Amino acid sequence: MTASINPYFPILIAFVLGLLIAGGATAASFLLGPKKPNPAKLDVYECGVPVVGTARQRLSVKFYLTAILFILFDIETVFLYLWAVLFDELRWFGIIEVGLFVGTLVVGYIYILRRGALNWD
Amino acid sequence: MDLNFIAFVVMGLAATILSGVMITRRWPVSAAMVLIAVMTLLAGMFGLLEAHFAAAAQIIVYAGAIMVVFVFVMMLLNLPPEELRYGGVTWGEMVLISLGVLVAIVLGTQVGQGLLTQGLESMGYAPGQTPAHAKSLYFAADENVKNVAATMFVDYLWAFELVSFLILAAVIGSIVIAKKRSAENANAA
Amino acid sequence: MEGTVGVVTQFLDSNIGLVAALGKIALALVIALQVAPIMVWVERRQAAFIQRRIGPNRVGLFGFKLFGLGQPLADTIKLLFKEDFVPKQANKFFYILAPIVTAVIGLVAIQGIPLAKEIVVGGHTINMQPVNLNAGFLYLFAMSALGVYGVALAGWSSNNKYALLGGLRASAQMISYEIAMGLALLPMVFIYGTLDLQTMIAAQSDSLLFGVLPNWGIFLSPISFVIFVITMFAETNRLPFDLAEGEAELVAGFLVEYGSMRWSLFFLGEYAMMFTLSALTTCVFLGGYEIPWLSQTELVALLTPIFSAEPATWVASLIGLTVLLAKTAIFMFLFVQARFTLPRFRYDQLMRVGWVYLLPLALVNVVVLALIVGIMRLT
Repeated sequence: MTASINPYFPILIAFVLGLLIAGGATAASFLLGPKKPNPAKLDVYECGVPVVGTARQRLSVKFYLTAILFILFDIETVFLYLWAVLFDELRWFGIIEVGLFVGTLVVGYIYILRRGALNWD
Repeated sequence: MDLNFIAFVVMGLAATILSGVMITRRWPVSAAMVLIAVMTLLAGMFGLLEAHFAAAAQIIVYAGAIMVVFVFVMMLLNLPPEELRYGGVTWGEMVLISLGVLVAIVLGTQVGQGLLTQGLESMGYAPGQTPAHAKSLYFAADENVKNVAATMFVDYLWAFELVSFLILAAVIGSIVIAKKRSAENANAA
Repeated sequence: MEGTVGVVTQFLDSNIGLVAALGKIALALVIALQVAPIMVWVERRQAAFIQRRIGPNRVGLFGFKLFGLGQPLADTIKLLFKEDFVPKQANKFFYILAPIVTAVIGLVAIQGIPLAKEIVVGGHTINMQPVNLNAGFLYLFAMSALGVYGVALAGWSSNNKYALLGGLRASAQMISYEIAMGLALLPMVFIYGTLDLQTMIAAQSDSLLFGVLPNWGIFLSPISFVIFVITMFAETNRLPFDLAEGEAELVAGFLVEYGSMRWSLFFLGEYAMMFTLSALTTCVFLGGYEIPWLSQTELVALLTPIFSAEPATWVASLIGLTVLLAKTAIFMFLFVQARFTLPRFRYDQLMRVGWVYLLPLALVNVVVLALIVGIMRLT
């Protein structure tokens, strides 16, 4: 007889235990540590030099592009996993099908490369 | 009472309440974080329905990829709440809200679901009917990932191949937009 | 007294699934919580040896010096008693939440690792993988995908220029290497025909490759192995990919405004993730908890005459766990060794490696292996 419970239940237990451990550690250090705040300590840390400007500035659009391209290739990877689990059953049909799918995306990848979207300068 | 059912209802309620919390946040980043929690709950609900692949994909694609873009954009723009527009619902938003209510009614009630699946039977897609792919590709109910794969690669072959073109279009579109913006920035600077 | 024992036995018998789940989770949590202190010590000692210093060797336990193994304990106590403050410009809620997110994700992710094969207790077979999902190691991917948020939140909520840049860099780097990581493991799925780590491990010890080598993933798909190890370094923000916290330019990146226990929670999460990914590598490429040339099934058969049937599975699982930890330790040591021998990448080089070299290489690897496996198996 195999002992079994819902396979998602352990995730919940682990999540709650992890939360207790991490939250407990934070609370413990909050309770145990000294509290001597002063303006310099609470200020932004910039190596001791007076703070210049704020952190709320706009940043390079490159990060956005990276994230968008990540979504697209991530979806591709997830689809490919579906094919991989059924590799033996789909046989050459699956390989050709996925070949076409990947082929289309390679066109997109080459376009990305040629446009220099992956160059960080 | 079945423990799975209770868990499902609790998670559903939590997801609904958190969705309400999400749309009332002042900071966009807070809203995004709550949305990630909602998506994780949805993944858990998929899992309880034994849709293991949907559960994993929900986290990997939605919480792990799409939300990263949301968070990035919010961090890149770094708009404080004061610069965002609050109050006053525009006509466009009214239309969107009523569309949302309509979708909720259609998907959430038995009558609505009946309307959606009506006429599908004549096309061979009756609810609960077995998929069209070969018998050799049927797997036990706990082999959810393989069943999803069989349905996608046989029944929805064309849709799957078209997705690659959709992704291709998205790749090109995102680069065109981002490159245009960066050229404008270069000119401005 | 006997009544109590009877009640306890009956309770255990009827709730064996729950009790076993709790036990396995506790075991995995203990391992995860031990990794960080031990690795900190290993790291400091190894750094000292590489730099011809002695390193921490004073603090011992109970009067024994033990090569300074008491140092992490002392460090933990020190960090616990440090002042714990929130900088005034920070977004308080997310500032407190970020380290907790990182630590919790690390502790939850480790539950997807199969610690040993299975043990039999009182007629119940207990599978030693705490979270045993049908979607298999997609679970580990999902957790590693969520790992981005701890870092991104830390960077954003600190409201510090260095922290924001560090957090953004780290998250952009993690997502960039995630694709190569997914594609690197893809061939292993169709070679072994499963997403389940335990089935994969069993397949690796079932037969011999060319009659001599164990049927390990590293021999079947060496390129996957190399790509996976590289991406593993990038995913955990370790040198040579640690420019998110490059001291020279970003002070400490997203960690700059953090101190006391919050700071150590980041390390707890990071080391737990390092361990999880190292153990995943072990399971997919190095046969997991199986001893080469001697599978767990054979081991149980060997041990059964010595012990009786059930304790034999316990001993075999204990040996399996030791083997898994030993193989994982190799990678953990590799992390340390790389940290003190390799220089840091520049950010443009880093993104180039991920997108321009590793991604196409992984894709070509998938295509070539699909064709080879297709020709070998389907004709």
